[in-house]
Amino acid sequence: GGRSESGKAESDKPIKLTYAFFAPANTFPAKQMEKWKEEVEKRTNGKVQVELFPGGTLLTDKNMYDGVRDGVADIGLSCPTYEPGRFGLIGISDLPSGFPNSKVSSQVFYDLVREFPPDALKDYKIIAAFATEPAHLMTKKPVKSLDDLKGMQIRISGALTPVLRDLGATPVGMGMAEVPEALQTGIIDGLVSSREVLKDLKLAESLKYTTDYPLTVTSFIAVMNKDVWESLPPDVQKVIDELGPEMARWTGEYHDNHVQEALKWSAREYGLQVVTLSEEEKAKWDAKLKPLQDKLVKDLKAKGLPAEEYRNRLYELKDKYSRK
Amino acid sequence: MANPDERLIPLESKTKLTKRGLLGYLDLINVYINKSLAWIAGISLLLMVFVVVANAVSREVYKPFIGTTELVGWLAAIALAFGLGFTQLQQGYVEIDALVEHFSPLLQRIIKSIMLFLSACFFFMVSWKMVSYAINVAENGNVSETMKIPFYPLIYLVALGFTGLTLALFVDFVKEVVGRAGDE
Amino acid sequence: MSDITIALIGLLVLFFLMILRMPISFSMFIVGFAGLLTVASPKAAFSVLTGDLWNQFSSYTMSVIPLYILMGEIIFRTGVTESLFKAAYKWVGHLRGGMAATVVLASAGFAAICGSNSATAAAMGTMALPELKKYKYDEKLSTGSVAAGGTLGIIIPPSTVLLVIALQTEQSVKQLFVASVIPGILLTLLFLLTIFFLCMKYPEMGPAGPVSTFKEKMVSIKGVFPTLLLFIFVIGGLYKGWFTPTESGAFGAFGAMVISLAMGKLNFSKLSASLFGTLKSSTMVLTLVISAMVFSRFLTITRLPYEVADWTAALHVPSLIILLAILGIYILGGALMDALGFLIISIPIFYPTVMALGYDPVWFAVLLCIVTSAGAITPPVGVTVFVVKGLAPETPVMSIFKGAGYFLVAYAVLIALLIVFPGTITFM
Ligand code: NA
Ligand code: NA
Repeated sequence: GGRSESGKAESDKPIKLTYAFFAPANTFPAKQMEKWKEEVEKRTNGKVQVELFPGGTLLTDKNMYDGVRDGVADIGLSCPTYEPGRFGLIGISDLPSGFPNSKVSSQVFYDLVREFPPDALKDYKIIAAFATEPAHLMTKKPVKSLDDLKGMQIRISGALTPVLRDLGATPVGMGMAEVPEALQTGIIDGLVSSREVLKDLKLAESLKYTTDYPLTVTSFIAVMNKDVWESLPPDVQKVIDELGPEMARWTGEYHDNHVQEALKWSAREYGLQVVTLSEEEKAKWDAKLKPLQDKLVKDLKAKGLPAEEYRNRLYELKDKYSRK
Repeated sequence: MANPDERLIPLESKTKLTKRGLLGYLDLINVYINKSLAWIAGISLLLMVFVVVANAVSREVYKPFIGTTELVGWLAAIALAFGLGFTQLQQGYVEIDALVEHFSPLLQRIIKSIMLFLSACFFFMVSWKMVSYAINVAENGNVSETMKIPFYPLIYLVALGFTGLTLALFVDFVKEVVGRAGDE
Repeated sequence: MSDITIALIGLLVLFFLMILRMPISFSMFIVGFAGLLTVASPKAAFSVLTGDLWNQFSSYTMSVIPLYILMGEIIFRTGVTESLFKAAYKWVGHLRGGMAATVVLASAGFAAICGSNSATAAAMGTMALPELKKYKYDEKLSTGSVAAGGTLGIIIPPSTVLLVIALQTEQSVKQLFVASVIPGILLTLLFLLTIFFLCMKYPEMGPAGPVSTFKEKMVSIKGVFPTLLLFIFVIGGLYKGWFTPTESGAFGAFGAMVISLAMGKLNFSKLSASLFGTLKSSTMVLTLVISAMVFSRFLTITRLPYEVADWTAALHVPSLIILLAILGIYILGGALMDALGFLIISIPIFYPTVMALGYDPVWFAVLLCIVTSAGAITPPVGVTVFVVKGLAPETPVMSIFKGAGYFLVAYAVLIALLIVFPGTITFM
């Protein structure tokens, strides 16, 4: 990684780029890496060779961006919100904003990152940005209303804590690895996450219901070490730049298809039911959650960040990409 | 089993043995610092037990404390870091002695000195780099995921733990070079 | 010099430092760091080292290990285990190796609640080693039994290794857990056979005690109740869903404190001795785990594991040979580096190969788990052996490897059985 071979690469010797990610090779962000590798190698006619390190074997979610800065890998893919406090504005688009799917959230997020580059990433080259589909409630018993949710113990990860709390559930923090057993023994009544876990982790065995209400998204940014970027020939830089928006769309579509497949599989194998909220109930949920984003915008604005502009642009872009 | 402490090396008596001259004072400081750190580590360990149990009980009867995993992780970091030097005092780090035990006592001492010196240098560097890491995390403005608390002070504590280990290794190195023959 | 050459030199240097009596965890830290420095840059090496140290030191998942050790320390130091082993001695002590067999059975029972091999070895070793010594058991046999018994922790479900394999190969965690029950029981039985065979051949290894009367046997049971109560509480609490597997360590330690306090056997000096003892062994174990991780990062960045995997996958020989080659590489990987790290790197490469050869996914997953867990008792890097060494400082580490080595025969028999009769796993 960052082994500066790229800097003095001769025209006949391929440029080697190392690319690290914290989650296993079969997750959708890792599929995105594979696709990126394939496209870059194809479009540069083999001038660039990409070596992938998924599964946290090189860098983990906790030290990805620092590791790229320090040259452990040339490129690193991580979730900015896994390091809270460091990436101000991104928290706004992660909070519930009514995204229909990952294709829309990914394209919106890519544009937002281009238009409002995070200060913390100013010493990096951003090469990809995308987001998950909105997280959904998946539960053992149907949740048709806030009353149903009241007091339920729901497994969450970091950013979801205030969301679940404001909806009246009891958020429980635990590692994903403990979830299957915790569900079986009744320590938790459900979890909130993007829905491919129903199939990928076989959680549909115990989670029979999912409530059709979009919650937070998790956004991903892949960055390249700035020195490595500057050492690349212009034609390679051009290929990588062109791939940015394309990858956002591709990844969104890939993830959406995967989720739909998981939902179908869960319905077929375990009789998963999708619970739809009534309009009136949905309005109640919206009313509970809107203040969260409002408050974050206000707080960040007070810190001198263009939070208002970010949010307005977020909803503009959401409408634009939803229409397509 | 008459003495339940059989598996722990009594530190005080070890200190008295070598309490002479500069080396004696050095050893005294070493034992004092690492034993103090070990006490804090032990208390952190106990707190871990209570926090985990209290959280599970609270989850059953009321609701869980959402920051439990973070808090336990931090206590574990203190316990582990502050136990580093103590473990060296206890000669607790596993080594393979199958080959070296056939060497002459002098060669054994030379090898041991080199290894201790190398280790002491390495962990001195680690302590120092952990401090830079803590500064970096503080500057990044990183806060914990759930409780949103800045956690960089704990990284300083981990650096302190490694300093304890460095001290213990250094004192062992000096003893190896000066020779413990007089003590035994 | 190519990165692969550097990786091989790194392995060589590691080996030299270790046999020159540099503590194993220090050796892995130093060589891993120096390797990263050579292959990448000083900045990169510091970045990996500091990041990994902090993240692993503050990891909630790892914190379960000291908690299990603490439970064992408290019940050992307060003498509660003594009565347990006294009772076991009355019942099976007259059999050669009976007490070592008891340790294996207790490990299997403990493995049924604990998903980690080092935690199982730590918990059982703390309790059993001093008792076995009292009954004049050969130290190779007693330390070996604990080290090998510890490996049951990841074969008998729940199991952290099976969990990782399930996640990586998109299989049902539950199905893998169910499938590993029979192999787990088989391995336990094979361990018992190993002990009885050894003691038959060398009676001095596990000397037979006096035969006890029925009355003595019944009386001895009385002392078992406190420990039994704790076991029922910990296992029952897990199945009832009072606490998670990670939490069971804390409940075990807490329960041990409550029980020994109620019996008037816990005082301040015993508590502090337990805490210090826990500190010593868990610091040793955890630095080992973390150093293995740093060393794995070095090997990963050189891509040596990937090269080996690619090379095997490309072999043009009968499928059984490829399967055996792959298993061989896992044994080697388990011998040299952190088993979980190696699984994460290699599964994406080997799993599709093995599937393409037409083997059953569940069967392969369980086999992989067994092979990797055998790595915990093979030199030079054997996690459960090191845990035992931490608990029995006076026993040379090579003696423990030797003692545990007897049980590798049981492993070989089990692996052969599973290859010849795959139905043992797949009938479920
Ligand atoms: Na287990
Ligand atoms: Na091994």
